[in-house]
Amino acid sequence: MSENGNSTFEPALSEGMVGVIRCGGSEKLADYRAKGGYEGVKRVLEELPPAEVIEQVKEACIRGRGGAGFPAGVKWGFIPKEKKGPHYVCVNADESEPGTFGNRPIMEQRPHLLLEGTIICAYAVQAETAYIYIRGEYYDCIAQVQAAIDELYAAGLLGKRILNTDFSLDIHVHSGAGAYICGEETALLESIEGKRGYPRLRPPFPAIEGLYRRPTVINNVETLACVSLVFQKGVEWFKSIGTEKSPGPKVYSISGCVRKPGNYEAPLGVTLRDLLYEEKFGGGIRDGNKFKACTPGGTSVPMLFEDELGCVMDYEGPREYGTFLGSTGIVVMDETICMTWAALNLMHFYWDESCGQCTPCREGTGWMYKILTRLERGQGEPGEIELLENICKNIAGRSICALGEFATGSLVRTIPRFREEFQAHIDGKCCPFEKKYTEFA
Amino acid sequence: MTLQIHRKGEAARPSSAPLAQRKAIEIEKIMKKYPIRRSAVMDLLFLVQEEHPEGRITPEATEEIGEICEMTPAEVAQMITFYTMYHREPVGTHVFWVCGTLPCALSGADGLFEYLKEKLGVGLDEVTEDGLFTIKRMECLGACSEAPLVLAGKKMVTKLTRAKVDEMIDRLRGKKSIEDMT
Ligand SMILES: Cc1cc2nc3c(=O)[nH]c(=O)nc-3n(C[C@H](O)[C@H](O)[C@H](O)COP(=O)(O)O)c2cc1C
Ligand code: SF4
Ligand code: FES
Repeated sequence: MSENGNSTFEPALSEGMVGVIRCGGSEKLADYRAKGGYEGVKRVLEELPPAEVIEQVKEACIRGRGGAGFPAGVKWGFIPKEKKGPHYVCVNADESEPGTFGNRPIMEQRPHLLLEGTIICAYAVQAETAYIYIRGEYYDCIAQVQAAIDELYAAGLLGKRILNTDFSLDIHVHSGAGAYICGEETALLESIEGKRGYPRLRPPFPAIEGLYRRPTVINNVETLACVSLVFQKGVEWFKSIGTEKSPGPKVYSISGCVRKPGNYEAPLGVTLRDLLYEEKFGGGIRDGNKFKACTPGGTSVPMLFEDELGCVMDYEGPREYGTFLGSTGIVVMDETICMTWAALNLMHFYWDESCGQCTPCREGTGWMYKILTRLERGQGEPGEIELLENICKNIAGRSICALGEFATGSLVRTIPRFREEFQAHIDGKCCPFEKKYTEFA
Repeated sequence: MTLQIHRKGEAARPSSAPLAQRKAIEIEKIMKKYPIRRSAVMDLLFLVQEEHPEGRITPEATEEIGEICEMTPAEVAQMITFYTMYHREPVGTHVFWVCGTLPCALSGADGLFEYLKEKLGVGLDEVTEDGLFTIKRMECLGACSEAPLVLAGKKMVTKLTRAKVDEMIDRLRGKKSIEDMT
């Protein structure tokens, strides 16, 4: 049992709404306000100078929920204090990491929880415009977030002189059009500027030269939802949940071979075993099968295996095993799943989504895709598994953004662990697994 | 072969008036969001694609958008080829975006692809003879817990079975709404 698996935990981000529910109606402004919503904005705008807001976000230690876990307050602190032109806030709602669907219910069901945090962030870094970059396929999210924005303008909580203070802010939705790479923060900026989503070389960092070459903060949807909670319920409340270095609640997305796939909110630091087996979460492996492997943080991070279920799921825990919490997208594979087949499926994704700017990523993903295809078809040659490992080593750290390294996530820990299984494809000249996925009923 | 397909609620052909006039109000609203005209290109591409009878962006439209957004036609074309949701080739009235990424593949996505192809008699990216359907393979659609699934136009239909696919296609063929399907 993890020390954080306490039963008193009350879901605050999702309020216990689990799974992906495309409800006709999301939480309306009046309902949100009745629960103390926008009290945070009111207090911030009327009582706290921007620097103090940043201090409190630092104190709450809100780790970026988009994947890297970087403290939001520290990031906001990088924005120049002296204003020489526009500043921007961009909300990363591109959510395209396979196995990750936790931002969706926040936008569909509680859009104001995101918008309140966005307003507080914009005030703290003195931005007058914020863009919410929502992936184009999320039609329901785009509709619900836009409807919530319209409510805010009508209520005087957006636009000129919000709540009769000197602070003015516009929030716009920018729809993506189907490109995973636009979730990378600088590609996202390029996309808003009307260009292909090619990640930028850093420095300069977005805090200095971001959108339209102006200082810009980019935060994930859930990060900003946490900001709302901190200013509604207080820093101490936030820190009372989760672990010391990773406080607060987290939405974990669980999919694949579990009995009850879905989104589950839990305190950061819950163990992987609890998430997979507890009845209130994943409910165990489906069909009574045995657990084989899972991705702890989306498919871009190295996998975890059976003897590693004790992993503490906060920003520190997975690092002990050489992997990361990432997007907390937990994709579960059971004993019937062939790891070569799984890696092949994922390599297709990264090969397809590589923007092609860097040779190691563009060519490397293509080579690995071809090798894995040969292996899975039983046409692999001796030495090709070692070749895969070699390519993995040579991509990491040699590309503009992290996608190149993400592409190796399904292999770096998996090959050493299941080397015989990979090798059997070559020796037996066919895939040793019979059934690789549940039948379509 | 040119297909004459009526898209929901749209005239058979977009009016021949230039885009800037035909969609003046919408364009104005989009432009207001941004400090530079180029930022409007993605919204404009969706606008044009949705009103086109074949659901695609033509070379003429590419030029018009370029003029409005202060981009060369080549720069606009680069956007169309980079982002998967834009089409230069004709698509059916209803596009089925089927997710094939690992979480869905673990729950029957491969079988769903086969069933759809067999039922509609087309391969990926092709248009059915009646002009109604196109199947496209999509990567993770962010609803993995409800696999296998399809984004049918703008409507996500999840936990698919053969029976559910049959119903969805029957309804669309009969020009009935699938809004209440989940
Ligand atoms: C290839 C790639 C894809 C990414 N996709 C997303 C995404 O879909 N959503 C997201 O919030 N962050 C994504 N990120 C991380 C962002 O670059 C960035 O770190 C994050 O938006 C910062 O917000 P946070 O500090 O609130 O987490 C991605 C990064 C890379 C390299
Ligand atoms: S690492 Fe890959 S996705 Fe990232 S910039 Fe280079 S080529 Fe593009
Ligand atoms: S893998 Fe299909 S929706 Fe995520």
